[in-house]
Amino acid sequence: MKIDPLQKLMQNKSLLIGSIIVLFLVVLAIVPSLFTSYDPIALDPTAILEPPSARHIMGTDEYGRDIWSRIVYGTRLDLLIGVGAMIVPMIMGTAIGLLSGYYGGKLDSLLMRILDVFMAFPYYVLAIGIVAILGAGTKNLFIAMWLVGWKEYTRLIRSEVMVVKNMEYIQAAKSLGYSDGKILFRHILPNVVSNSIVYGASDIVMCILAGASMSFLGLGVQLPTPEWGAIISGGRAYLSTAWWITVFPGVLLIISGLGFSLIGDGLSDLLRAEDH
Amino acid sequence: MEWATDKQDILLRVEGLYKVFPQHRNLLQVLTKQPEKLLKAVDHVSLEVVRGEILGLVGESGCGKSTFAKSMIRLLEPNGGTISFDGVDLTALSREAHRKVCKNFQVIFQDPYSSLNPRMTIGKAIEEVLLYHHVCDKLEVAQRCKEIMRQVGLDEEMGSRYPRQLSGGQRQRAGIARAVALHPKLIIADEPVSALDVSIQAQILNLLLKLKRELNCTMIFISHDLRVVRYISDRVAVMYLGKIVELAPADELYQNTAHPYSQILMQANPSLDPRLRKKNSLVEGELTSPIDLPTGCRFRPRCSKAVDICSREEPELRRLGPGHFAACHYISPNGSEIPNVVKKGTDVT
Amino acid sequence: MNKKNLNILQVENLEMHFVQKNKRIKAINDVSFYVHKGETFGFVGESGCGKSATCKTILRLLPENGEVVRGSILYNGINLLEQSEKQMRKIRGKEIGMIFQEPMTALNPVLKIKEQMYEQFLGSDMTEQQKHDKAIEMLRLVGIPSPETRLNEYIHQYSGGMRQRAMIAVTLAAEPKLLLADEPTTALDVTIQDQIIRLIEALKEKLGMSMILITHDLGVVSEMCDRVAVMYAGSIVEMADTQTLFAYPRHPYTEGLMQSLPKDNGERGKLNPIQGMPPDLSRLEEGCSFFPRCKYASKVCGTTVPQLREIAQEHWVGCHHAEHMEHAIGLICLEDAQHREGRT
Repeated sequence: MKIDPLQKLMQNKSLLIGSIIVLFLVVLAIVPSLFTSYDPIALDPTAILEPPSARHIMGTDEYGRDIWSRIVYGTRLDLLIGVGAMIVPMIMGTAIGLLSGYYGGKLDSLLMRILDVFMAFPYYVLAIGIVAILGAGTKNLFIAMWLVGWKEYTRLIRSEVMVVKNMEYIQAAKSLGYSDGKILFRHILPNVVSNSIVYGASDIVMCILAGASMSFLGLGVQLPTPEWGAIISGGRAYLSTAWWITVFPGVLLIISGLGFSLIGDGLSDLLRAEDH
Repeated sequence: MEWATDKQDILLRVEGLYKVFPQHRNLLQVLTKQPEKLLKAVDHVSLEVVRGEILGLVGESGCGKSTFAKSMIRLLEPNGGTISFDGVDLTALSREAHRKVCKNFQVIFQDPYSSLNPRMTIGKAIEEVLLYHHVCDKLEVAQRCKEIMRQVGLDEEMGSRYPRQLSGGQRQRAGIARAVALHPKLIIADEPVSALDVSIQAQILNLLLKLKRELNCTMIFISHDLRVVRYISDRVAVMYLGKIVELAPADELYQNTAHPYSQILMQANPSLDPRLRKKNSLVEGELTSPIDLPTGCRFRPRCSKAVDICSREEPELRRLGPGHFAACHYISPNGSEIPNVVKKGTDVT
Repeated sequence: MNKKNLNILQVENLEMHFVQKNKRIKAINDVSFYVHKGETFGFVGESGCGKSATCKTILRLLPENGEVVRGSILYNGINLLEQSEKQMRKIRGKEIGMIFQEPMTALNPVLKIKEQMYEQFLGSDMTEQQKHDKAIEMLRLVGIPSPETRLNEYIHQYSGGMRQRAMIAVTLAAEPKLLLADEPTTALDVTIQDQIIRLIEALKEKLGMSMILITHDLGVVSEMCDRVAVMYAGSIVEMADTQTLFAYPRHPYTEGLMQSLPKDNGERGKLNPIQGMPPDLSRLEEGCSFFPRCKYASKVCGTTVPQLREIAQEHWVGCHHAEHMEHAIGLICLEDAQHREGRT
C-alpha cells in the first residue's frame, strides 16, 4: 500500500523540476566560493563595465565587480529573504487563523477587524510605510514583510478551520476528552495546513520579488551588499550601455521564481491526492 | 417519578434536560429587537438508564434523539437540567474535570468516515486514546492496540491504514475500537449502522452485542430503524420533537404500542411480508417545525385522535404498566384508549 | 425469454464497464431481465452492486468512462443502445422517466417548479393555459397543498417530503410509460417514506405506468414490487416474483441478505450476516463472484461462472447449487407447494 516517497517525487514532474532548481540555488547560497573566484565587493578599476567574456562570464559593473560573483553571493540573502519573510508570517497567520476559526465569537470578531485594517492597504503601500517609519535596512525589511504577509495565511486557515471544526472527527475527539490544544494541533492543524503550505511555496517567490523590489527602491538591502534587487537597481543607469548588469540577475530571479512555483504546484497535486 | 421497572441500579439519570439552538437573525431583525427564535431540540426530558441495559432511542430526523444523547454526556452543552452519571453530577463539573471523566462514556458515530481523522492511521488513532488517558504506557501501547483491533475484528495490518483505505464496515469497526479502547461504562451508539449495507450492518450489530457482553457496559442505541432498535434494545424510548412520547420494554412497545405517534411509526415501517402490503398510508401531514411548536400536545396537528384537551394541555409521561410510559391524554392508565372523550371534529384542518 | 410482447423492457446480456486509467471496473456483467407491462420490477442489492448503473445504462446517462461492451436493451422492441442521441432525447422523459433519491440535486435550484414542469411539455402543442392547468393538476395529484402558489416557488422553498413530491410531479408530468425510481425513499423518514410509497403506487396505477425500482431495502421491495431481481457484484443472482423470492430464496446471497435482517417478530437470535466483503469489480476472479463469501461453495464455483437458470416458472437463479438450496430460509412462510403450482 505504501508508496516510496522518492517514487512519488519521480512521478510528480513539476515537484521534481522545482526541487532541482531550488536545490541548485541552495547549493549556490551555501558554498558560493565553489562557483566563483571573484570577491563580490572587491573593486577592480581595470575592468569597469566589461561585457560578458571568458574572464567575466556575466560581465562587470561600473566598479569592475564581477556580476556572476555578485549574483552567486546574493543568492544567500535573497533565499533568506524569501524563506524568512514567508515562514514567520505563515506561523503567525496560521496561529491566528486557528484561534480565530476554532473559538469564534468575540475573539474571532476582534482578530478579523484587525485583519480588515491590514487588508485595507495594498501590500507595497503598507510595507513601504512601515520601512519609512522604521528606517531602511535588512532587519527592518524583514519586520515590514512579516507584518504585511500574515493575513493571507490567516484567511486561508480560518476558513478551513471553520469547516473542519464541525466535522464529526472533531466532535469525536471532544468526546474522547482531548484538550483544546491537542484538538487544535493534532487534529485540526494537519487537516487545514495543506493549502497554506502550497500557498507558502508560491509566497516565497513573492517574498523574493518583494525583497528585491524594496531593495531596488533603496528601502531594503543597502549597497554594496550583493542582493539581486540591489544589483538590478544599480545597473539601472547603464541599461542602454551595459545591459548585462540588470539582465542576468533578472534571469536568475525568474528562474528561482519558476522553481518555487513548480514546487508549489507539485505540492498541491501531492496534497490533493492525499486528501482524496 | 419512578421510570424504570423496579428499583434498579441506575447508571445515568437526567432530569429536565433542555437544549435549544438559537436561530440566526439577520441584521434587521437584530436592530428591530425581534425576539430570538429558539429551536427546542430537547425540551425538558427526564430519563434513567439502567446499568447494563441497551436503551433504544427512536424517532424521525429532527426529533432531537441525537442531540439528547449528546447532551446527556455534555458533548453538547445542555441549556438546563441535571445529569447524574454513576453518582457524579456531570452538570456541576468544570470543563477540565469533565474531560477527565470522559473516558467513562464514549460515542460511536454514524459515519465512521467523517468521525475518524483522515490524516491519522487507524492504529495511531487508537494508540492516541490509550496514551492520552494513561490506559497503558508507551511500551505496551502497540500490543494493547492490536488486542483491541482483534477484539473488533480488524486485522493487525489495518492499523497502518488511513480511514480512506478501509471499507465502510472496517471503518465502523475502527470507530468502535476507538470508543471501546477506554472500557467505557456507557456507550452512545449514534446511528452506528445506518450508513452501512445490510450484510455489513448485521456484522456490526453482532459485534456491538458481543462487545457489550465482554465489556459489561451500558448502551444507548440511537436509530431511525425500528427493526434494528427492537432487535438490539432492552428498552426503547420514542422521541418526537424534543420530547419522549413513549418509553417501554422493547417487546412491550412493539406489541402494545400506546402513543398514536408510535403507532404511526410502527405502521409506516415497511413490512418484510409482501402479503401485508398496505393500500393507503395512515400517516398524515409532515413533521411539525420544532421552532414553532403548537400549543398543548406537540403531536396534535398530525394526530387522528386529538381532542380538545390536546390543544390546551401538554401531556406528561404517565405509567401504563410495568415500565411502560406514554405521554398522551387519550390513553388511560390501564393502557386502553379512553372511550368517553369527545372526538375533535374531523373537518378541522 | 418469455412473453416477449408483454414486456415493455427487455434487457439481454448487458455488459458495461467503467474504464479508468489503468483498470476496467466491470460494473454490469451479463445482465438479462425483462419488465412486464404495468408491473413494478425491483432491483435490490448493496452499494456498488450495479443496480444504479443498470438504470443509467437504460437511459444512456452513463458518465463518459462508461462503456457498454455488449448486449441489447429493447424498449417496446426498439434497441435503445442503437438510438442516436437525438432520438434518445425524445425517449428520455416522455417514454422513460426517472426519479432520484435527492430531489435537491435532481431539480434545478434556480428554476421555478413551474418552469421545470413546462419543460416536460416541450414539443407538445399545448397552449399556455393547458400547460398551466396540467402543471397544477400534477401538483395536486402528488398531494401538494395550494398548488397555484407552490407552482411559482423554487425547490428549496419546499420541505423534505414535499420536495420528493415535487420531483415526482415534474417527472410524471411528461407521462412516461416506464418510470425508473432510484432509491426514491432512502433519504426520507419512515412516515414520509410511507406516504411517498403509497403515492407512487397510486400514480402508477392511475397513469398505467410500468416501473423499475432500485432499492437496498427489502422492506421497500416487499411493499412495492411485483417481481424482483437481486444483484451482486454486477450480476443478477436471483430473479422471481416477490412472494416466491421472500419465501423460497434459492441463491446463497439472497439467503444471506435475508438472514442479515432482524425479524419483524422481534426474535433475538444472533444474526447470520454474510462474512467478508463484496469483491473488487476491477479484479473479478474466475468463477462465481460470490464464491469467496459463500458457505455452500464447492469446487465448481471457483472455476465456472454460474448462468442464470430458470429453476421454476419465472424463478431464475444464478447458482450451481440452486436445486439443492431447499434448506434456505426466507423471510416468510408460504403454506406450501401448492401455492407455487397455483402461480404457474
